[in-house]
Amino acid sequence: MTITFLDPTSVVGGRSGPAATGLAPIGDLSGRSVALVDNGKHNAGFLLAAVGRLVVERLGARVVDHRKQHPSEPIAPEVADELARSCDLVVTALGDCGSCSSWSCRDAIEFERRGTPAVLLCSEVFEPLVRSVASGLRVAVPRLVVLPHPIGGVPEADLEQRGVPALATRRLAEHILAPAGGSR
Amino acid sequence: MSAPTTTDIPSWPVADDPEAWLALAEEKGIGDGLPLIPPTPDRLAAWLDVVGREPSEALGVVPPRQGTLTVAALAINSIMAGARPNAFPILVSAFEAMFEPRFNLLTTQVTTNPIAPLVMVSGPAAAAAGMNGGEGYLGPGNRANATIGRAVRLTLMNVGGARPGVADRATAGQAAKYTLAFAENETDSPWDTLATSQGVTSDSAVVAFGAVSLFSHLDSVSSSAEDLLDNLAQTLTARGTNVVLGGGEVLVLLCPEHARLLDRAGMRRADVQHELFERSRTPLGNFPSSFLAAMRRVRADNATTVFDGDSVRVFDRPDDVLLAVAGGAGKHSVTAASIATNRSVAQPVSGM
Repeated sequence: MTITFLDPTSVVGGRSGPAATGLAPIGDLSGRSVALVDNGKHNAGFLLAAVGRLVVERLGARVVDHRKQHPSEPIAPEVADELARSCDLVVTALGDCGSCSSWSCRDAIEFERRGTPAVLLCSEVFEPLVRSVASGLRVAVPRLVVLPHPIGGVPEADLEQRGVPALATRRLAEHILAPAGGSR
Repeated sequence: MSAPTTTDIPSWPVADDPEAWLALAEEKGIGDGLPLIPPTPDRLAAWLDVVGREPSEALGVVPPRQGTLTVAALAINSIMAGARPNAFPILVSAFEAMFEPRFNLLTTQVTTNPIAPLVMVSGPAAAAAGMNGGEGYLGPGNRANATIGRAVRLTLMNVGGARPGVADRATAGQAAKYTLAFAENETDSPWDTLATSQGVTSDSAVVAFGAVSLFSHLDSVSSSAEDLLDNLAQTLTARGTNVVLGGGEVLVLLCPEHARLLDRAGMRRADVQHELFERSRTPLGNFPSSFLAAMRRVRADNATTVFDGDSVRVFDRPDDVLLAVAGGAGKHSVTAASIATNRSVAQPVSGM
């Protein structure tokens, strides 16, 4: 004899959220502004400093720094408005835990919704979570620079030795900025 | 398009056998590892009869999957948990509370922190559901406590997609993530309920709180409020909680005997909050410089309060100390620390 077991994951009435949208294009960044959003996670600032050097020295752009007060909450809407208005690209870091990866993903999506392209630096361990957060919202997965874990909680010298900052800037330049036809 | 009905809910045929139900839950990734009640169409219909709400009614959206929580979905997960339909108003209220942005349900669902949504119920709704706020309120043994908390958990996993190891990235998790619901012990409390103190005026209410660190605070020595508060404050300064690093709320669940000692000293809720705020301090020199630097950065907005002379306060304000009475005879209070970005929410229970 069998019985009928109702699926507890089903959501009668359909899932909510806007339909999937694409990512804002990355234009020529020469002479433009790039926002570096540090969510306060350990070593986020260290990686973003390397990104900043790339932005200034190789792209000829200007850096606008912003630091979130806490990684586990959304960026303030008025800050997102201002950075989206004044910058042509946002690079945010760091996704290396559950909540910071999820909220940084949502922040990147907020910039994309405002028409400003965004890139998230995240640990490989939390990349799947970032993807599922975007998938839940039914939007395109933000551009990611995926880096080896762990990133936070280790000395900067250790990150240097593992080549993590160099990897971050190389992947950003080669995989995200160059294909976009930006300043190259 | 016609309105969706419960007959539109996908289902699986399964042998009428408890072991087959558990195996199905394991195979489909829809359970918590414990035996369950199969949510059959008959059981759902019986629940909906008692609940008296439209099955497709949307109660909110559960991250990170952004699943719409319908009355039917909540009922199905509650049936699986073994809950009774008379718990439904409590469950609805708990989710309404968790949907408030300040509760930060996304963080709760995905963080490496072991945040367990704590559901504390007061008023006639708790009694009607058969909840325990007395001896052994944190379990085991009471069906209502166990299954209400479990219904919350299964719903968060199944509708919200917080599967452990998938979207729920808790490094360790904790046993309280299986279930964490109980009643406030109003009979033995010298004060009004926590929800009332938060401005909720309904007879019944739920307080939802993101509990990261549950700690059993034994004090069988103190015979004065002074000593009791000093000892309790020491427990609240435990280094490993998020609150010490970044601020946030702590729920202090005073056992009745501890609460009575404070009451006998003429202390009201606000007095106890103020005393714990003042006394929960650690000497500046006790912190490693890296920890201190992180605290100074994270707590910059409240630096003048937190960094007070040669000591560091745990709390940004007295209101961050939430007080309630729970438990039976004995000298064991419980503290539950949350995190700065997750705030408790007191919510009326309607339909009672």
